[in-house]
Order: sequence, then structure tokens, then C-alpha cells
Amino acid sequence: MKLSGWGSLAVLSTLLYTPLCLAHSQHTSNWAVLVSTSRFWFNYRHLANVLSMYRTVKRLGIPDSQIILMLSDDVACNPRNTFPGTVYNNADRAIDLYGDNIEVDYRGYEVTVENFIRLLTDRVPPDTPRSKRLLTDDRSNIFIYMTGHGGNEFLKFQDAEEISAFDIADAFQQMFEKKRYNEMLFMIDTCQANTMYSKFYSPNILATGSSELDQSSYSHHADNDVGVAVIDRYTYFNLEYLETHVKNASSKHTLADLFNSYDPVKIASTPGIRTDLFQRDLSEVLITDFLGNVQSVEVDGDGMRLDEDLLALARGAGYNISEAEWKEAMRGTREFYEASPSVSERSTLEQKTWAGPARVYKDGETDFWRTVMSAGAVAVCFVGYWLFSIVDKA
Amino acid sequence: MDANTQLRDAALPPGFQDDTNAAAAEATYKNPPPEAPETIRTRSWVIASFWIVAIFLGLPLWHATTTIYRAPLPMQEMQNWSEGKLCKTEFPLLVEVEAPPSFPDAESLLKTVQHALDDANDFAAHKPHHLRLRLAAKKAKSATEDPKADKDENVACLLRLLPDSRNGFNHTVHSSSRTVDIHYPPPSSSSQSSISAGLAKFVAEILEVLFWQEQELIEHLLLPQTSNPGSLNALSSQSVDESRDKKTPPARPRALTADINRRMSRVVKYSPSYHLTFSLFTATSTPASWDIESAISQYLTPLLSALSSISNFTISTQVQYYASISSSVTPTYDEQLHAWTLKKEDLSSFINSAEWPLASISNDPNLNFILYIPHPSITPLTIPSALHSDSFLLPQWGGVTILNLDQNPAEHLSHVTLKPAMETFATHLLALLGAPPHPASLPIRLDSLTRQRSAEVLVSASSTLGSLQRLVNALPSISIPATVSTSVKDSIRHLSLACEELRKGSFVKALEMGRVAQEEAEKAFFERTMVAQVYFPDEHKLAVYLPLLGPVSVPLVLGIFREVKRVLAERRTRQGIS
Repeated sequence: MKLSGWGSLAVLSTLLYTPLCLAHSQHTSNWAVLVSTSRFWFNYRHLANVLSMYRTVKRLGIPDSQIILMLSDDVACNPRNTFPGTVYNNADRAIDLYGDNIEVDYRGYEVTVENFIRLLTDRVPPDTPRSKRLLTDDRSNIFIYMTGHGGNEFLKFQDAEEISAFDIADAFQQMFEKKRYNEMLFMIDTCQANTMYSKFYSPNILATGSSELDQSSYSHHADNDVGVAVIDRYTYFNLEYLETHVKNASSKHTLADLFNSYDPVKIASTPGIRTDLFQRDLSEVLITDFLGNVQSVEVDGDGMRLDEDLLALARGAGYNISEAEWKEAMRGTREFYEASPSVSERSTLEQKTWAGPARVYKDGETDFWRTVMSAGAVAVCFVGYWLFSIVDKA
Repeated sequence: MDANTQLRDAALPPGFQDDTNAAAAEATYKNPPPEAPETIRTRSWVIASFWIVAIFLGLPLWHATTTIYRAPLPMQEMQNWSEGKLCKTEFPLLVEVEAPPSFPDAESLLKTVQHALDDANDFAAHKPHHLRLRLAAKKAKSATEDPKADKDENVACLLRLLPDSRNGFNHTVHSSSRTVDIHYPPPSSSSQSSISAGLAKFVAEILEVLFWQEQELIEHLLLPQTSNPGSLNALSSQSVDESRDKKTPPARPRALTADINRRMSRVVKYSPSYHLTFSLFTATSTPASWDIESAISQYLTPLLSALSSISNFTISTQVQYYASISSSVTPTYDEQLHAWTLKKEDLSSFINSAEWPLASISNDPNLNFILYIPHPSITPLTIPSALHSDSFLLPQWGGVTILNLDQNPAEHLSHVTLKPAMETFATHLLALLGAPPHPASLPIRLDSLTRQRSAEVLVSASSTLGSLQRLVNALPSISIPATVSTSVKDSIRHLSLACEELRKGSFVKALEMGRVAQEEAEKAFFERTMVAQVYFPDEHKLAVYLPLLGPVSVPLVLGIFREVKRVLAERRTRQGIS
């Protein structure tokens, strides 16, 4: 009898609990991996694509330390560049994407398939600097953007090698196994891009690409002074939506809104969206869950509210304690919280009863000697200066 | 012979065919002399030796050079660890009770309390976390004051029963020791038993209050899969489902799970050492400096050294002038409070990550503590929802405190001014590390943190082993160097050691062992050489092998084909003759 009661309760609680936890994202940090896999001047647009995305995620609050930027970086200072030191993504040249601080993590010949997979799976040499590592955990949302030249189930890396859809899928599975992400948004702009995510099999990945099998992805327009195409269509229309609708990190636009804005006629290819691995409904997923960094906040004083929760919880768990009794029982805690200076002080004072290795600081003494020392140093300086001036005069 | 000539004729291009002299040509065509039997034998030896070399040297060589080295791993054991079969994690807590000499029949009181505790959680036997009561030895009463004895015994909590005629039942938690004083009204001779029963109930309740939260938390930690209900692993979904069915305690109040989830989402992952960054961000050029060194040594170091058995800390500090908050944060002026206020949405984008230099170069996890001094034009800047101080906590990231100074602020922030901020940071630090907010006693909280962290480390190490096992199974083309095998064995050894220590109740040692196990498991999983572009399409393999094997295999196959044909023809002629 009792057991069945427990069982139904459990069922009830899972029923109640599941939709609740699906409703909001549980991540605490946002990471972005932005990759341009091609090099050489005529691939200007790929660099512009990726730098535009970089600008967007930075604008929406992801710090540089959580953005891994991989690009050949051979365009801004290319001798053919009419506007040295700049990269533009539009013929109006309104925004210099290369302008103020950009932090390229993998550059030039470091952009390889091996490095990319090592980055994802964190199988890096021990001396790898922090900025080159994807230090995510099971509470991180990752946005992965790739652009370059690709084909059916592969993407070329700098005309030297290629990554296959299977490799990426396996890398993601390894990330999943090691709990290296909470959710992932994979966005890719290449020819036949949708084939790249067709092999994924790890959960909680949302994927979108620019074009179907046997479709090319086209550039949007060329800048006649730069002399090459400056941006790809799919990226262009993504950016257009993000710039016009998602003004700041507190934007409430969802990924469903973004995906609905895709127009195959304008993009000149059929963008794809793969949602079968993803658990949440797209109309509940904010764009800033992936492209922004909205940190959840706990305001101090939540601790106090926690007490109240605790009371309610204890009652729920069947402790028959009256409110007054409870308040009495928790009085020590309250005091502790209100006077939390004591965290350190009390522990130092009542050392003898506690094995903790608290150290005793004889504050007065150290301060006294420090004052004496600094005063002495100042005095020596003055005397020295005085002596020097006398000597100088004489 | 006939067949031969006909073949030859057919092979001749039409222009060469001389129809009129066909018969003459046949007559003039000279056959080569018949082969000597030795020649035939030599030829078959040659062919055979080529084949022998190809099969007995070539194939093994090819196999040896192309197989991927996979060191043997204790796969079954790894799987068992990840499913929690090998270690029944136990957290036996010893509670000592010190009764005054006048107290009648303390033993029976303990028994009653123990019964009450066991009854309170129906599944006490199955719960990993249980309390055991013991009467403090009389002669050791003085020794319990001695910290060393306390440490050896691993006493989680010492209950002191003190008669108190004034207040009736109540208890006080000593904030800096593991002692809890329990006051009870001294028994009048008439109602001995009722007092005893009442006291037993009260003691049981107190113990529940002290430890139930930790108990739930540890149970939650030991069920890692439920913390992430959305993620179902394609490879192991079945086993996950099974274990969930088996292990989930039947009734867990939903709110409690949510509360634990909330707490866990705030806690940073366990690491043997953390880096703490204290930053002073001021919107103007004042204050120019702060007395952070002495502030840290006075208000924080004692806490850090208390935590040193769990983790180590390194500290760096920085000052940044003219640091503006993000442009999206807009404080509003509240006429009633006479202050600028920040809404909760503002707080979530308060950190100006584009401009504030908060990236750490340390390889340890970094925790940021930011003291922000707003511009005089928006001073005082407050957070109305905060009750104590204008501060907030960013889960897994750090804490922020806003310090409002007078109109003419000092150039230098003395450590006295910093004191409240440092206290807030200390509270934040404890919260980020996962120390429970209750009870009031710091040692009990830290003990609880130790247990919680060792559970976490054990779960993480064994789940890493499980991941590695599944990975090795799922990717047959990945190579496994011998170092992985040693690391895995090391990890398993330390896991079982940790498990033993847990059973003994020495949690600090268990944490140490678990830490090693976790490190080794991570080392095995993140072995650098295990990265490979593992997928080669079949066309690629064909393209690699065809130019090599084609020219080699054609003469070999043709040779044996002709030889077989010759033997067959020979046999036929022999049959024809006989």
C-alpha cells in the first residue's frame, strides 16, 4: 500500500518535473567556436562571415575567453587588400570587422582538422594555453559556426585536408560522453552544408545549414573596390535578422523566429534545420541561449529565502515542527548569516575546539611594523633627496 | 596445338590474314620445342614461392602494420564501476552523545533515537548516508576537547545533553566546533519516562535537521543521470533507464529536487586547486588603491586554510579604473529609496565582459570576485532585491559586490572599508564551492562539503571510466596506447581504495583517493594520441590500395591461372592418350 503510494507520487513528480525543466535552459555559461576553414584572398567572404559572427556573439556578451576563433587570418594584411588592416562584410563598409580588439586563437596553418577535433574533445598537449581550449562542462551551451568550401559530407580545411561529417559526429559524441556540453547549436555555411550534420547522433544538438545536398551556397554581393565577394547569403540573412531584431543580450527572440526568417528564394539555397536530437521546443529557445551570454544571477539574500523554502520543504517531508520551533532551531543559522563576519573570526578565536588549521594573525603587530617600515622608507627618501640637493648645490 | 594456331589466327588483324596461303602458313608455322619438364617445374616453383611470400610474409606484414594498437582495458570492470555495481557507496556518520553523569539510562535514550532515525527514512538500509549514534566514553570526555582525538575518530557531530530548567527543549549549534548543545528541562522524578521520550524525539529531530539536506544531496549526486533528464545517451540509454528504475527513491518532493538542482547549478566543478581573482573596478579614477592584501589575509585566509583539506587556492588581484558597466544596464532612480536601483535583468548582463579584463591565464578553474564602485552620478547604486548587501552571485563564475562611497571618496580603500565586501565574498566562495548553508557550525559544514565532494569525485571518476569504455567500444578504429591502460588500472585501484575509506568513515582520505582516481581517469580519457580522423570512406581505402595492389596482384593471379589451365590441359591430354 505504502509502496504503491510512493510509486504514484514518483510518477506524479516526474510528470510535473519534466516539462518544468524543459521549459528553461539550464546552462550557466556560453561558449562559441567559430571556424573559417579556407585561406587565400579570393575566400575573403569566409573570413568576413566568421568575423561577423564573432562580432555578434561578442556584442551579445560572450567574453573573448569563451570564444574560440579559428581562421587563416591572411586577408586583413593581404597585399591585395585595398583597405589594409580591415575586413568588411558589406559593400557599404560601415563596420570594420577587424577593427578593435579581436582575439584569434587558432590562426593560419593552425587551422587543421586535427586541431579542430582536438579542440572539441580537449585532447590537447598539456602545454596548451587556456585561450586555445574549450573548457566547457555539462552546464555549457556551445555555438559552433563553420564556413568554408564543402561537399557531400565533407568540409575542406585550407585546401589541404578535409573533415567528414562522421568525424564531427564522433567528436560530438565524445563530447557528450564526457559531459562537455549542455546543448549545442551547430551552424554551417558551405555548399551542401546540410549533409554535414546528417550524421550526428548525440543528443541535445540543434543543427542548421545553408544548403541541401547538391545545392551550392552562394555569396551575397561583391565589393567592387575590394574586388571580391564579401559575404555569403545564408550568413548575411542570419546577420540581418540578428542585427535588426536581437539588439542586446536581454532580447526575447527565439530560434524559431530566426529559422522562420529564412527565405530560400533570398538565400538561393534551401537552408536546413535538424531538431530531432534536440529536446526543447524551438519556440522556447532564446537566441541568446546560444549566441549570447546571459548569466543567471542569485541575489544575495536568496540565502534568507532559502530558510523559508527549507521550512516548507521540511513540512513536506513530514517533520512536525511548528514554525516557532523551527525559527528557534534555525536561530543559530540566522545569526550566522546576519553576522557572517564571524566565518573567519570565530574560527580563529575558538581554535582549541576545532581541528581546522586556522592561523592566528597578530594584526596589530604586523600593521605596526609595516607602518614603521613604510615611514622609515619615506624618511630615508626625504633625507636622501635633501642630501642630494645639498651636494648638487655645492 | 590446333587450338593454339586457331587462337593465333583469330588474334591476327584482318589485313594480315592471308586467306589464299592459309594452308601454307599453317605448314610453315613452326612450333617451339616442347618445354622440358624441369622448366615447367621451375616455373611452378617460382609461382608458388611468390604466392608463399605474399601469403606468409606479405599478409602478416600488412596486418601488423595496419592494425591499430589497442591496449587491453578492463572493460567489464569499467562498466561495473560506471554502473555503480562495484562499490556500495556508504557515508556512515558517527554522532557522539555526551550525557551528564546525572542523566539516567543514556543507552536506552540512544537506542530510541537510533530507532526513530531509522524509521524516519524507510529505506535507511538502502540509503548511502546514515547516522550512527554512540555514547561518548566517560573517560574521554576531556579528550574530546582535544582536536586530535576528534579527528581520528571522525566524529561528525558531538551532542551535549545539558539540563536547562528555564527554556525547555532547545538547541544551540556552536559555530566553530562540531558540538551541538541540547538543552532539556531537568526531569522531575514523576515524569522520568515522558521526558526521556520527549528528549529522544527532540534529539532525532535535531539530527534530521542537521543532516537531512546533506543526505538528500549525496543521494542526488550518486544518481548522476537524473540530474540531466533531457540527455539520453543513444549508446547507454537502456542501462540508464534500468538504473533509474532501480535506484530512484520512490518519493522525492519535487521542490526538493529543484532546490538541490539549483544549489548544484551554482557549484563549480571540483578541482584540487582554484584560482581566485579579486578585482576592483571603479567607474572613475578613485579610489586609486585598495588594501586588498591585508584584507585577504585577515578576512579570508583563515577560511581558505580551513578549506585546504579539500582544495588549494591561488589568489591574484587587480584594479581597473574608468571601468564602465555594460551599456545595456540602465539603473533607474527610485525616489523613495533615494537611490539608483538595478533590476534583476540588469544584473545578468552587469559584467562588461567585452571590456573588463577577466580572462584568467591559470589552468585551474577561476573564480572572480568583483568589487564595483559606481560613478558618483549614479551613487548610491543598490539592488533592492538584495537583503544584506548590494551583491549578487553568478553561478559557477563568482560574486559581485557594489560598494557605494561618499561624495568625496578616499584615494585608498582601507581594509576596514573592505571588510563587509570580503565577508560577502567569503559567503559567495562557500556557496560556489558547494558548502551547505546550514547548520551554523562551520566545521560541520566543511565536513559535509568534504563528503559531498568525495561523492562527486567518485561519481565523476567512475562515469569517466564508463564513458571511456563506451567510447572504446563505439570507435573500433581509435588506437589505445598502453598509458591509457595503466591510468585506467590506477584509477580503478584508487576508486576501490576510496570506497574502502568511505566505508571506514574517513572522508578526507576518501576524497584524496577519489581525487587521484579522477585525475587518472581524466588522463586516460583525454590521452592525446587517441585523437584520430577516424573515419575513412571506403572509396578512400580503395584509392589507397588499388595502385599498390593492382600491379602486384595481376601477374600473381594470372600466373596461377595459366598454371592451373596448363595442368588441366595436361590431364585432359593424358586422359585422351590412355
